[in-house]
Amino acid sequence: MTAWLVRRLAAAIAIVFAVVTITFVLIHLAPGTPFGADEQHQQDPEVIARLVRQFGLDQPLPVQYVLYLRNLLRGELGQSFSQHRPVADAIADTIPPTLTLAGAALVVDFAIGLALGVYQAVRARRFGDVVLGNVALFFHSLPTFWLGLVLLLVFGQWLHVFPVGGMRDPVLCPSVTSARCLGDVLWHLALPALTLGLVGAAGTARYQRAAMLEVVGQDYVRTARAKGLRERRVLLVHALRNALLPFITLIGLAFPFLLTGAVLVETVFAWPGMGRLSVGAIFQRDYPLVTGAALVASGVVVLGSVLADVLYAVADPRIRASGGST
Amino acid sequence: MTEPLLHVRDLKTYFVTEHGGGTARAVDGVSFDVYPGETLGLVGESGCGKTVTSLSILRLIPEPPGHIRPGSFIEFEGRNLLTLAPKELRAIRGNRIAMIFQEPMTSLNPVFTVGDQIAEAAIVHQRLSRRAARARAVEMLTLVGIPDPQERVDHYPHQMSGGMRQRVMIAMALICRPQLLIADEPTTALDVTIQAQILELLDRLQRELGMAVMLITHDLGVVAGSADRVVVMYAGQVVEQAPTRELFARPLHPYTEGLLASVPRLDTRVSQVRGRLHSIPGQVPAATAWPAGCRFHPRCPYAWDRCATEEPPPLDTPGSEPGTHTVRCWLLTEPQRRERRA
Repeated sequence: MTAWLVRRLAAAIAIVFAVVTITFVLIHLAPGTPFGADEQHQQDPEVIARLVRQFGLDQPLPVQYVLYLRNLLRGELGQSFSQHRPVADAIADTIPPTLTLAGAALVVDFAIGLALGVYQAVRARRFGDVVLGNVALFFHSLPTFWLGLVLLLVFGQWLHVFPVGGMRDPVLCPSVTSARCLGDVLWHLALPALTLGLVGAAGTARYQRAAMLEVVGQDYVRTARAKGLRERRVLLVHALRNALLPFITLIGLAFPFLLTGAVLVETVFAWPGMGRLSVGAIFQRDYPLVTGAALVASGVVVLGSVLADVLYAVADPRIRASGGST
Repeated sequence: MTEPLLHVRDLKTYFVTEHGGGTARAVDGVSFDVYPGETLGLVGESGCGKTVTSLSILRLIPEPPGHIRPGSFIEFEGRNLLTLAPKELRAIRGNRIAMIFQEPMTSLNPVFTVGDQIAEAAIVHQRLSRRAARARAVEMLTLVGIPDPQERVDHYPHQMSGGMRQRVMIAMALICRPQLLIADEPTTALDVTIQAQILELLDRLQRELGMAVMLITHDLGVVAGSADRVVVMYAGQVVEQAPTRELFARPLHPYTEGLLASVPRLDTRVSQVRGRLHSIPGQVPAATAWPAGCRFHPRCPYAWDRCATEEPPPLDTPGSEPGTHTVRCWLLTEPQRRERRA
């Protein structure tokens, strides 16, 4: 198990390194510069030239890359051009909001997806299954940002049930300290989490339905019935426990979905998370911030898949045993 | 004679096949009795309806595609199992009637320890606490001859061999001391040496616990060794039933005759088998299209025109008490035809 974990972590580092390299090259090759003039801000060419020199952007790209990696090894992510503060600080501020959103979306995704998938499998090929299957397919094919806009329009603009954006009320709750502010955050969280969760839940339900259907035909499910167990216990204990094994892998797969989804959803709902930070950084050609955000995001994704494998081993006694001996 | 424990009359279990293949009449009018404490052997080739019959008793047929036809009747301890409410049926499953299956590899749940799986029925039916049920599980493991039961109780099925797993299945089935154990090909998936051990174990447990056993098998050797009476099935019907000794000494249905002749025997005179093993010509017909008349007539060496048109009912054999040795064959009405052919 330990050797396996070391191998997995080594592979994880290699993947993160590759992501950083690709992001670094792509963002530097993208047209435009961090200090370019736009309509509103006329910049003094002298000032621009000084900034370019100060951040080492006049150096050839390979030199910049080597310098960046050297700083990275020292734990330095560099200085953000647009935020005038260290990249690490900028990212650190956005991690809690993004984790909050992703965590809430994951709960919505799995709770709805699991319940729906199990229900559909039990009612397989009957009316309820067919209707729900099509509804799920509809949600699965919706672009996240579009669903977000529709929910925003209906519940925020027309019904005024939920706020239209942000993470907390800036006047009443400048920071999350009291219980009232926690409620305020949850209220702000509802729509973005629902948007991200619903689209995910549709896919999860289809996956769970298939896994469950495969399991209910197994001999041990018949054995459980022959014992005289209630149908609910047969399905929710004997069958579901087995159908959950492949499901754990989904947790690992959900991380990339949630993070990419967060980019769009955070932008739509003005959620102060990593996704919105990255989008802003890309448009401003804030090279160190873009690369740093990609580094953190890929790290989370890769760690998520390692975590899923570990969970899988914990849940399945067969893997636990073989992993322990090799 | 004592009252039967299980009384099956005119059981019909049909399956609607997909792609418009019609209705498969897997079990088509089966009747037999199981008496308290006896071993009844249910024999026949694959596809004759043995397993479907055994699953029908506890209503474990997946529905759809299968269904048990109205008019079928399965009486156990005075109640028709086919009309019981789900709750009453559950009180019988695993408690009064238990079942073990052919594949010990796939019949145990891979994610629960064998102890949990054995104890479960005792928790549900006897309302034992988890602790007490676990202690019972250890007792049961000892009873079925598993070494180190204290340790084995926490093992998972994948940590055990096929024979061990079948012992676990038996322990699981017997924890509530059922009146009837249905064993569907319990040894088919096991090595020959293990087969003998499992059969011996079943024999011993039957004597100790005084239950009836319904032993489903395609292996006549297994039946000869353990069964008191034998029911022979062919094409979804019972074609012959008799006490084991009598069946082996005097098989009357041509199919039973063929089955017995196809078992290699050391004590048969070489001249009788002419150095070659007998086989029944042809194949079991498809369950969607059983032959008209006697279902065995296309493969029967004695068949004549009546066999192709008229279906024989179960007939009592002369010289035996009514109902003890019945045969579904017109030869019983015209025994001279058998002599002529021989």
